[in-house]
Amino acid sequence: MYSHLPINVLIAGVGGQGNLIVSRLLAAVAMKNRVGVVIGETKGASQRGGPVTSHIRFSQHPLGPLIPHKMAHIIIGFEPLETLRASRRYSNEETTVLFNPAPVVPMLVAQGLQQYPKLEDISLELGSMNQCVHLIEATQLASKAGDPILLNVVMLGALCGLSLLSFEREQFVETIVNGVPEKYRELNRLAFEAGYEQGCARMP
Amino acid sequence: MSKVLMSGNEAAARGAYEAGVRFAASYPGTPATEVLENVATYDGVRAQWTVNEKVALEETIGAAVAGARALASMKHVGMNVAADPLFTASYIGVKGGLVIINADDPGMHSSQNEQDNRHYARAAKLLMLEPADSAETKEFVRLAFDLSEEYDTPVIVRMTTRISHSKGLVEPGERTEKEVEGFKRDIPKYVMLPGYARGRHVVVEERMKKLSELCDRSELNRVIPGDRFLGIISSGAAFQYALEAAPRASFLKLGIVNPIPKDMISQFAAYVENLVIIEELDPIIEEQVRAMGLRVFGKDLGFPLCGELSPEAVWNILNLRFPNMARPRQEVTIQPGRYKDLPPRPPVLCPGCSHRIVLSILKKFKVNVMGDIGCYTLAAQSPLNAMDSCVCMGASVGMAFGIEKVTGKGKTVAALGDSTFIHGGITGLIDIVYNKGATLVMILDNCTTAMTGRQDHPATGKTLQGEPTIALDLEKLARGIGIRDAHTINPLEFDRLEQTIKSCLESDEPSVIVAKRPCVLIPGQEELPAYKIDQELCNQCAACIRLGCPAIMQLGKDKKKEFFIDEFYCQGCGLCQRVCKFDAIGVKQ
Repeated sequence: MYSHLPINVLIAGVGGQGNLIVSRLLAAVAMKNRVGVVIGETKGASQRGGPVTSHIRFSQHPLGPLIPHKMAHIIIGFEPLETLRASRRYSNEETTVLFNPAPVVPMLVAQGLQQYPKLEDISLELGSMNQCVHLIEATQLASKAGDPILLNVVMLGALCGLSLLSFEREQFVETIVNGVPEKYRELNRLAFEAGYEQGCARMP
Repeated sequence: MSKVLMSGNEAAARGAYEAGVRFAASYPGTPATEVLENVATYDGVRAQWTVNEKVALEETIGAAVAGARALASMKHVGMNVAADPLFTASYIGVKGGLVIINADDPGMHSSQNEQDNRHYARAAKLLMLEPADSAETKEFVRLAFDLSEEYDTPVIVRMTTRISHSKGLVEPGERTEKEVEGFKRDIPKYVMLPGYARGRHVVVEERMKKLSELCDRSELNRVIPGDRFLGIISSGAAFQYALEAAPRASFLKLGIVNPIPKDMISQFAAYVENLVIIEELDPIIEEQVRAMGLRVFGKDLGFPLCGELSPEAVWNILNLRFPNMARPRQEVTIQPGRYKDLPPRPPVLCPGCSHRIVLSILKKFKVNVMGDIGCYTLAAQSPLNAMDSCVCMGASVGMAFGIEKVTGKGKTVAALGDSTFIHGGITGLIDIVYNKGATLVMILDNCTTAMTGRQDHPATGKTLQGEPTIALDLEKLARGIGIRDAHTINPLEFDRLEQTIKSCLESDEPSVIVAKRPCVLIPGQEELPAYKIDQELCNQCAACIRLGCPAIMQLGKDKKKEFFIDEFYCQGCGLCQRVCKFDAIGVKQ
């Protein structure tokens, strides 16, 4: 568990995968615990399928919005290639990574011009750079829960299940339930639970 | 009230609301767009999208001289468009507070250049504030209205992408209502005939002197005393990076970046052994401090002129020059795995986007396509390579006509979006008619301002609030200014579009084709069935792949390769079927 502030959490994904929602929910949980938070986003023209990284920094004193290189405590990867890209920049030997193994294929790969790294190579390299790497089948679990789009909430559940932060499970659940429109609540809760269970199972 | 998490743009809107702003106008532009979108959500504020930044600023100048507090917001290049009224607004002053939120884009996350708009504040002799986080943004914007009225001047609040789009905790306050007195005639102040303007220029220079004095005693500029070995002058995001990189150093944190607090800087320089100025983009503060005769480090240490600063860039430079002052950081050496370079992920046109249809058909005619600002600029990338220029809003029209003037007709067309055409293309089109051109102007009308997140504009028939209004008819507008060869075509009518382009290119008259079909991201549109590739008929010629559609993929390599369409992504536009010479693509049964 990371308990000494500041704590830097990086979310790496692709436009449309729901980084913004997760960073907002995490911030809300932190605020319930009276922990200060600042969020930076690097997105550019992300609406058109570019990479998105969200920098979430828990701290009691004001900090800049970007996590300096090599200073992430936790990396949450929604997509394997983007997880590796982020880890090369932000990991150190005390970083914990959790990532979703479902790829979103970039254009040059789709056109056969470049190669998407093999999943086992990605896992291997992540393992060599970080203290701990957890593969979370988020897209698969989200599909089972009702909609693959909820992979972000599954990942949030896994983060909670892994007890990497000192925030209580109930606070996560409450924040998610209050943070989404009523008709999506049950779906979100199911997705969170699925991730939570897998997170608990991966606890070292 | 308890603290709320807000982006810089949300905080700017909140600050304006609390200051009692009555009127706000803007044209969408990353990273400033959300300022107006958020200010529009508050009661008591009339907010509107305008045709461009110049009109937005002119409207807010009007509101301000009528005594209302008014807010204009724009991205950095929008300020170029609004520069004409800006410089003279400095002369006439205000009555109600006038605040301009200007968002620069260091790093060009979503822009065509990375100009440093602090130059504008110097050139137009205006007060410019620069916040470093969301909490400051709200306070600074609120205060900017007071200062605007106190000093009878427009005030610019300079944001950057990093401040606009980062979120921090903000404590919301109450709104202070300000009565609108109404416009009162004051010819020497508001009518800038040379005779009156000469007098007002003197007022402007006197005001700058007073603002300089204010600057030296303002709490917006603050000294954070630390180790006297190193003193850092900085502002905005750069200040945050510097503070994290060298927390023990002394700081002069500037909240006002024009004018600069000269006395404060002299005293600070005398207090520290080494004075360093850390600023993003141009050495604007640095040059002024050097002109004061002070010995100072700045860009000479390696701080870049190009691109966005980063926490590590600031740390690296400080650590190199002042290792005892930089926060210690463990060195991590990384062994890259099997893949040295990871495949990049550039943004692409969406599946089913009409821009792809129009531009790929246009490609057949082997013409130069003068492009413009919008999603369609992405078509300049491989594999489409279907756009030959991108300069500024509306430039496609003038540039195409300029090329035609020197190389002859029928070889160059202009292609620009609906919102972009209204913003900056109409005047160029009038000029083509006036000066006997024969240019074809293609308006890629997707019924929205797509790139910035789908805002309404005069041709959508809806206001910012979604209320119905008179919709500008682009074909009628073209006819009204003298274009006889004007057409509106749904790009899904591939053959008709192609034939019309052909006849327009052959014509001796100027022509306009409005290729109109709503952006695929606008919700509630008719769903078209997905397409599929018949593997037995597919000859693997890759014509479909060369459309650059994210729904079409190639699996495997060489002899084992296979093309297929992801039905989840396919929007059913059918363009791939049209380019397939082997009848291998059809609607999925």
